[in-house]
Amino acid sequence: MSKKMIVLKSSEGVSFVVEEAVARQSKIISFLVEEFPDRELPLTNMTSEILRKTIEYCKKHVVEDDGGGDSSSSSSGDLKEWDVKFVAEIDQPRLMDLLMAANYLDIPSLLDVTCQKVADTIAACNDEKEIRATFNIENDFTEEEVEAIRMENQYPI
Amino acid sequence: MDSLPFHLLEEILFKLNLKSLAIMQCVDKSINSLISNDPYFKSNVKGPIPKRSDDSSPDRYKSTPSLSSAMEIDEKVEVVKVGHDDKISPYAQNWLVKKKETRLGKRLLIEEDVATLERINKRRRVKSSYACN
Repeated sequence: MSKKMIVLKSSEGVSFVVEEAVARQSKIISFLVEEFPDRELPLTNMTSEILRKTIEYCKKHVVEDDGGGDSSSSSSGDLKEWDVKFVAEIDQPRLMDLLMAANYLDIPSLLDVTCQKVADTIAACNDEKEIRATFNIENDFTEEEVEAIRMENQYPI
Repeated sequence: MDSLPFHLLEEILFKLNLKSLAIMQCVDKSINSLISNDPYFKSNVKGPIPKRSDDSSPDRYKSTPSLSSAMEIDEKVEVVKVGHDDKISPYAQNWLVKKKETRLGKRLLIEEDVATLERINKRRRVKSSYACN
């Protein structure tokens, strides 16, 4: 029996043909597939690049439903390692897009992995200036205000 | 990061340790208010460390006091402060004066009553003395 395929369309109009089991990791797509079977699903707020990355993640994480437990291609340890590598390869702005995509498509595990990567990036920064530079955040504090917050927290930074 | 919805930013902040959170407070105003309004962060930096349930549990919002309850506590503290303060607000002053006046009024009333009673008694005594004679 051939597997059911569904078509996802990116904001640029590029179609991606995906196995239903892969795409169903997104709760939104799972819902849409049931509501609109045999329809192309337009994801207008996702670029092809981000959609491709999301599908790549879902393909890796799909649990084969063959009835046997040993069909899964990778153990959970391997999968975690793969996740770390997967997010390490993505640059900062795209990581944010992927995080938003995971939130929009409702894929909790991908959301968790991307949030963790952002948190790790923040934790690696030594001060607020480095964080602002990394995430392209504009400073709306005066130097005195920053000093006041530091004093309040009693954290010598 | 500016375009990130607050619930996603929170998701990231939950994964940070306290030192990183303190640094994040200095990054920009919206992040600062998000962190400094969190009762968990407040109590950790400024008070004893409460036990927080596992971060991965969806009930974590329930286990920590809500923002509104934290504000209520702040308000109570504020009220106590005012009570101990030497300077009383004009509103409170006005209220105190009014209270004094009513008390004074009541006492006057009572004094009046006492005076009337005494007068009546005096009359009675006079009457009774007449009767005796």
